[in-house]
Amino acid sequence: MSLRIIIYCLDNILHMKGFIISKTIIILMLTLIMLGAFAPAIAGSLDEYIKRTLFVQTEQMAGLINVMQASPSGTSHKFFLPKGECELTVTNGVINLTQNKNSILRETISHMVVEDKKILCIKGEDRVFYIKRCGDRIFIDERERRCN
Amino acid sequence: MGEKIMSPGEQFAFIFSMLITLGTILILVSLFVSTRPVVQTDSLIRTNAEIADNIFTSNLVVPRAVFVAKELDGRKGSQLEEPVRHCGAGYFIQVKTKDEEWSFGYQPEIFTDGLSVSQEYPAAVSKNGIQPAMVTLTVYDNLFTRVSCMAEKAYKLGEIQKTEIPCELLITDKSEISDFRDCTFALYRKEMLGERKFMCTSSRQAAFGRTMTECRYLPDVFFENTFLNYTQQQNSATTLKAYPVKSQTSCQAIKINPGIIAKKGEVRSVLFCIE
Repeated sequence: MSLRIIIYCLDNILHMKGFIISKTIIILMLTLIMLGAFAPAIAGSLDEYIKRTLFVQTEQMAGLINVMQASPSGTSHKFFLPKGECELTVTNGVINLTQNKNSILRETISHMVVEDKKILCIKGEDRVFYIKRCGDRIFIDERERRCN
Repeated sequence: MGEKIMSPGEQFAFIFSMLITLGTILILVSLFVSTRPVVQTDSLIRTNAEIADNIFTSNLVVPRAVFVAKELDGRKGSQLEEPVRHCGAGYFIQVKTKDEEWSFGYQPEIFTDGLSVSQEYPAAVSKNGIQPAMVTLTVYDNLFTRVSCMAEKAYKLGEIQKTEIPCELLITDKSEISDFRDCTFALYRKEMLGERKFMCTSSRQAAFGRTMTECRYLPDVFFENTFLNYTQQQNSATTLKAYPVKSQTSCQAIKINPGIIAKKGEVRSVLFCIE
């Protein structure tokens, strides 16, 4: 089938016939070739986009924890993690967000104690969690905590 | 397939339109591929504001942004970064009233070519009444702050940390006759102001003709004193690794027996190695 199309196209081109069909097929083929040639660069850009998004989210989360440390006890913030599989771990005030095998580490200010936490995101579901200051501690929970 | 052949004019129109279309596709693809998104988070400016915000609510002030003179007196001229610390960014704070000035924190002497952001904040000092003051907070992000943070993260997380280091501390003039340079990087513990722990580094640079020392407050982190001697090709970098270890050991021993590397909860010390 494809051989017949090629023969037909070549026939058209050689005889300068079928102006529109020949032109369309040539352009389509060249576009596909160019896209194929640039595929690694496009894939690299997408990978970089994912890393950047992850970096910005980790920065935002660290910033929120830092601001929360300077806020009065009882202050809380609702945070949305993106859809898709991810893993958020907070250990000794260091945030580690992992998504698509990319991992970003970000340190927070050591003023209050930030409780350790691990949150897993599930593909296709929104993941919401709360950052809350209770006394001299910062908690990260899936549900909003009540301060005693 | 016996249709009539195109006239020369039609052939020219065909080739011309093909060239225009192909050119457009090429331009569009190259524009798409060459586009590089740049995300600027201004993180050091934000870090500055966040550190200031935390200092203004710490035990140095009563109430918010009113500094207690006694607390400032206890830290005056020191290199302490407390009660607020940031692992990756060091800071230096100056509190100025009309009659007096207090300053403390980290100030780079060797690693002066890193990033820094300085911002001013209005505040007050409680001494013989309330006196208006201006706070200047300078936040630094350089190789030394990152290396001290590597030690802290390796110690607290039980994970190997690594970074690229240039030949910062040049001790010979060999570079003038060779492509390779002899570099040193010394990291050692020092106790100052009682039992407070600092990470220090020293550099003997021919250009300055003296030994310079730079220290950063690093409480509750134990690391092995390290004197790294390495050769580096010009314009290249070497990898510095911070290993969390279970007991006192050497870089060669880690290569032979990786079991010495500690996980979280087993860390006794941190060892720096060049790789």
